[in-house]
Amino acid sequence: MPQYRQFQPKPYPPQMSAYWYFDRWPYLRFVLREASSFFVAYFAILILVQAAALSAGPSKYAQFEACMRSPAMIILNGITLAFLLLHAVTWFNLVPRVMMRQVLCKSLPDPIAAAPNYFIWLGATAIIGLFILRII
Amino acid sequence: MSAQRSNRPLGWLTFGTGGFLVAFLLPVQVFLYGIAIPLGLVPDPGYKGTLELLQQPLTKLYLFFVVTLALFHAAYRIKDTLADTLYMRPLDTALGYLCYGGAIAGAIAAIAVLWNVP
Repeated sequence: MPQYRQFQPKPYPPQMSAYWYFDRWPYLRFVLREASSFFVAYFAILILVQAAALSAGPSKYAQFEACMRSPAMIILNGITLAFLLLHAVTWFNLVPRVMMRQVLCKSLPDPIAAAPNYFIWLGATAIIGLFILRII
Repeated sequence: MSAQRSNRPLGWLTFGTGGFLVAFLLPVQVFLYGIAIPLGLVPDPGYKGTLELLQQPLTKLYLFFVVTLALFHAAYRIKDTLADTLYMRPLDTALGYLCYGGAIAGAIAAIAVLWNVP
């Protein structure tokens, strides 16, 4: 005698588009934040290229600086700056949510918890900027 | 008896430290070296001024840590981004070797470059 059920069990095929990150803005924002890592790696390598050019002498460094003045490099570095700012802001806003609860065992409003990060950022930016421009 | 230890805390440690260093220190460097100096928005310290800065032992130490930890931070995220967006999660381990191998190669390159500064 056959077994009857009210509902037929069916396999559940998970449906996920290959371009799932375009489906919703939070997904896209997440992938853009993660994509900042490509630009972080690019700029870390660029730092080494600049140091190598400096070590190779004045003519090589002039070549490097000429390359940096090309429109393509300016655009690439502008995009890199935008992604690094996205990384910085998301990082600064995320960290206090974890740290306040785990270290201080209490929660503060997010802007107050994130504020120290922004002050450190401001200070670090000023100091490094003055060093790069050889003012100090 | 040997305890099997996970290497995940090491990945997290370098990801987290690198994330802080990148967020605090790199935007100003990208802005100045990548945009402001090439466009002439600020005075260029030039070859001599920049080389003098690079020759400081503290600058070399700073650049070594920033470059190395930035690369390890990026390796962690690039691995997961490729796995998530290109359906490469089954290749997780291979991607990990590739990304962290690249970061280790970058760290060695950083030592070589900074060591050879005249």
